[in-house]
Amino acid sequence: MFGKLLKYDFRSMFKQFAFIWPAALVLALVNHFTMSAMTTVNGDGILGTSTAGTTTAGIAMLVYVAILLAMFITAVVFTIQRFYKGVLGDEGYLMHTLPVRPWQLIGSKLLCAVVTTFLSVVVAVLSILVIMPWSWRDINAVFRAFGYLFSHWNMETTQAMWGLLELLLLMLVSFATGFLQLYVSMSIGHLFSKNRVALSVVAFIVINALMVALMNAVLPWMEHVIVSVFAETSGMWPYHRAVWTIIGVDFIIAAVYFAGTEYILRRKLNLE
Amino acid sequence: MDWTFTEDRPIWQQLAEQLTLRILKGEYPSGSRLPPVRELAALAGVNPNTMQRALAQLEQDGLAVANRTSGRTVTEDGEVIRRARRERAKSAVAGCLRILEELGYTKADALVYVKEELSHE
Amino acid sequence: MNELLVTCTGVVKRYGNKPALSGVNLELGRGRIVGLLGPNGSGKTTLIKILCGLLQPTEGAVLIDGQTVGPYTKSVISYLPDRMYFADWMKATDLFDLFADFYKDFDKARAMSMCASLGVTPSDKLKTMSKGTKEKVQLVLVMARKAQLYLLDEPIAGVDPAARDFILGTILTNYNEAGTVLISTHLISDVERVLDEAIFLKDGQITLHDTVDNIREREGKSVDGLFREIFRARNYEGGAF
Repeated sequence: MFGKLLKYDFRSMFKQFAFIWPAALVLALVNHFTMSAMTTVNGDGILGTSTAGTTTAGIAMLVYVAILLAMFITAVVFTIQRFYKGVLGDEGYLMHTLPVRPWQLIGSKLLCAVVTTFLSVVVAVLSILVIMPWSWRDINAVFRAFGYLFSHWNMETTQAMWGLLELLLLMLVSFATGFLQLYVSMSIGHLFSKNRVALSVVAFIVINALMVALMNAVLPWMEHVIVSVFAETSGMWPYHRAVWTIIGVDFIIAAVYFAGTEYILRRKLNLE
Repeated sequence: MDWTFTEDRPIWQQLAEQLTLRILKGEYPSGSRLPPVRELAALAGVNPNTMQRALAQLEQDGLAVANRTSGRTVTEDGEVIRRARRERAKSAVAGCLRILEELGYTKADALVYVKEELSHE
Repeated sequence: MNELLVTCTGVVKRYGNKPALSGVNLELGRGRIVGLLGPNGSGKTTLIKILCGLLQPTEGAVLIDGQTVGPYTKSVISYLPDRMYFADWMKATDLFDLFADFYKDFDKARAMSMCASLGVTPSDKLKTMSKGTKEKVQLVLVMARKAQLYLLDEPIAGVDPAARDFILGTILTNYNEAGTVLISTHLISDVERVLDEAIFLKDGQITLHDTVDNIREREGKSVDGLFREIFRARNYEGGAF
């Protein structure tokens, strides 16, 4: 049943982003060319700029930045709206009468939101790479560099790869924590019979303040863990410890949010 | 003929009466198969259980016969139908007489009116 | 299989301090069409939502087919809410796929043939459909299942009398005869003929639960007539009607 929920959540996600993801990449490509057109090489082999080229490049860059911004706003709005309408709104009448458990509903929405945001980040990174001046020769060089990396694989490369994967995991966990904070805030707002949206916002702000207070309380300890990364010189261990500590703390917070949301959906649901 | 129901009596009784009438009128001829319960219920816009109960009454009256394989048929016994028709006719006349009596006419007056009405046709 | 399909024992639901249901005891068998009758605000929707798991009772217990409310009971209940619940970007056929995916008892072929007889084009986007057509789609979704319990919340409110007959006809010709249909309404004269049993709900309590035949035989009047008599006082007070 969880798989079926995921199927429908991902389908609605792709409907939402089917346009904006390709659009961001296409605009990046346009910018790549307008940027290179901006710089002209005159007869003496000296670099210069043309006014027309600059204007075009400026406009193209503006549109690109706008669409990138729109993409991340859409990702956040999509996350909020899929949960608010789909679980706490009218669509909830369908979702909560399907033969599934509340945690599956939350899990499916969360996984979908995390993947959406992650893919948006990937698209953003790719688009920046596309804009940068490159030639086919550069791409070739990149592939050769990777080839070299894989052919000369050693302890250090493994370590570095692990480090990267850990960072990636950290990013995903912190996305999930952020979204779950939104979910739990909306669920708390849902406990009231009036002004649910406004009270959801209030709940979010209060939770945020609590988190800041909590962070302040544990900061000295966190500081110790993080500073030790730079202080010690004994290999990767302090780095791993720091990253895993943050992941662990995030994970615990996320679990608390998840449990709170699940409890409200299971015991206190009251669709209007 | 449409199905109509009055407020004061159970619907199954009214259904049984109206089904009987249909059989007597030949709408469902002797020996023919009656539509399945569900279909009849949908036609009359009533609950299948209610229709079931009305049909059970028809069976009890001998007008309908349940077959194991082919649902229900109208009885092939012409005598049963004739008897039911006579009864219906008698009760119609009795009803008519009752109304006239309530209006203060005698049975002799009633006969005069009936003859008069017949001569008009 | 449990003999009783629905058992409610001492079900209380309070919103804050306001009681919506105050001690409902109810037993429903199988193979019946039951009317849940009461004026607006009497607790009909609350009771139905508790049965289908959209609300948790404050007190009391609910068993459906001998099980507490959860994924199993949801899989045997077909629920028609008093509002639209679909995402607009879907087509009716998308919803049929979704139902076929989640409910084993959903019959897609039957849904398609019901659409044909109701004059609905299932390949249309829901966004482009009229309110009446969307309501038909929702009815198709609910009635194309071979469910144990159908919970229909005000299926004929807000439509004209011709459409009412049409909807009741659709329900009558399509429901699973081994299952039970619970129809909530305040339009009793329209549904009376299709009911086996009637439940009167007044101020969150069941004041009467009997077969329609018994009520007519005992009272010498229709369920609608009896209902009007019982709830008349409220009318004159200018209450919930």
